[in-house]
Amino acid sequence: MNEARTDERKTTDEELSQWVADYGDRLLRAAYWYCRNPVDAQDLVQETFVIAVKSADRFERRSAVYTWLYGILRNVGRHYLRKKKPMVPIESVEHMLEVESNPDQIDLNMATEKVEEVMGGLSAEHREVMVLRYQDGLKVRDIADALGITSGTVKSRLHYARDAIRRNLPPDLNLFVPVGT
Amino acid sequence: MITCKQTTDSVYDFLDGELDESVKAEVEQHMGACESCQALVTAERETAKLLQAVMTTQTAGLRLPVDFVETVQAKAAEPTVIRVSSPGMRLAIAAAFVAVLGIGALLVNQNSGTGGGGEQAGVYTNMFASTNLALITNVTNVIPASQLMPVGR
Repeated sequence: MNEARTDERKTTDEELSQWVADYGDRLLRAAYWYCRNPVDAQDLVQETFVIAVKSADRFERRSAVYTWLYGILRNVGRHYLRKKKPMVPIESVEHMLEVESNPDQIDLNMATEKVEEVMGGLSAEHREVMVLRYQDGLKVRDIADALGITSGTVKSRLHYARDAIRRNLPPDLNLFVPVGT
Repeated sequence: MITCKQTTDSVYDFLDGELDESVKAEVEQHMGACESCQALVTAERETAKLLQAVMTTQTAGLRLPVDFVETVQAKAAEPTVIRVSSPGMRLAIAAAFVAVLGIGALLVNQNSGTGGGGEQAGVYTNMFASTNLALITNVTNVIPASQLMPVGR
């Protein structure tokens, strides 16, 4: 009995190392957009893996490991958003104080600042589709599968979030155009 | 002939390469004749590029620490502690306990009334009664005296 438990534990430990190696940094990048703070993002991923280890026996391996881990992160991230008030990350403030001479870099810095700001004001649902679309580069269909929603809902959330960013970007950076007929 | 609305609705599918060949050809044909739809698709492509650049740049340097696995293992080995933060929730849980124990005491009383195992049931009844009293005492400690309603007349 004890041997079986030790073997089980060993498997989980080995699996954990593999999961962290395969998906840890990807989850960390996704977690960043819940809190816009690298330290808190690391805490969210840590919490995600702790839950994963504790509930590994209930994971039936029907879905992909990343989908399962990402599902846990979503719950952890949403809990974080409910508890925590929005804040300006230290990195953004430091980055505002830097003097940049390259015009392209200035544009990217400005856009980054605005995108960060708008993302911080979006709901968890809208942030999630944006991260999966533009950071992970997933297709609408794959986002729908990952989140368990319809493709129509994904498109509608992308449209809303894109519009929110469009309204906030400075006009000379604005790459969006009004749609005609 | 495909309309602007249909093109707008299918812009993500078009960019994802998810449209049937025939529909894709229709969209391309429409865009060839419609500047605003062409601009929409171009804008969406540019948006994707901008957002990809911003989001990946912002998170590019993020890495988990080397001892991350050990930290998770240590945390996972800690016993689970259920934290009840709000006083309202604490009170609700206490009330639920009281209710459950109260029902239990009633059932035991009924059983002892129907005969058989009376002495044993009496022990249980006393145990329930004293536990209830202790819980009620705890609950009344939580509720300020001014908020307690008098019972009976």
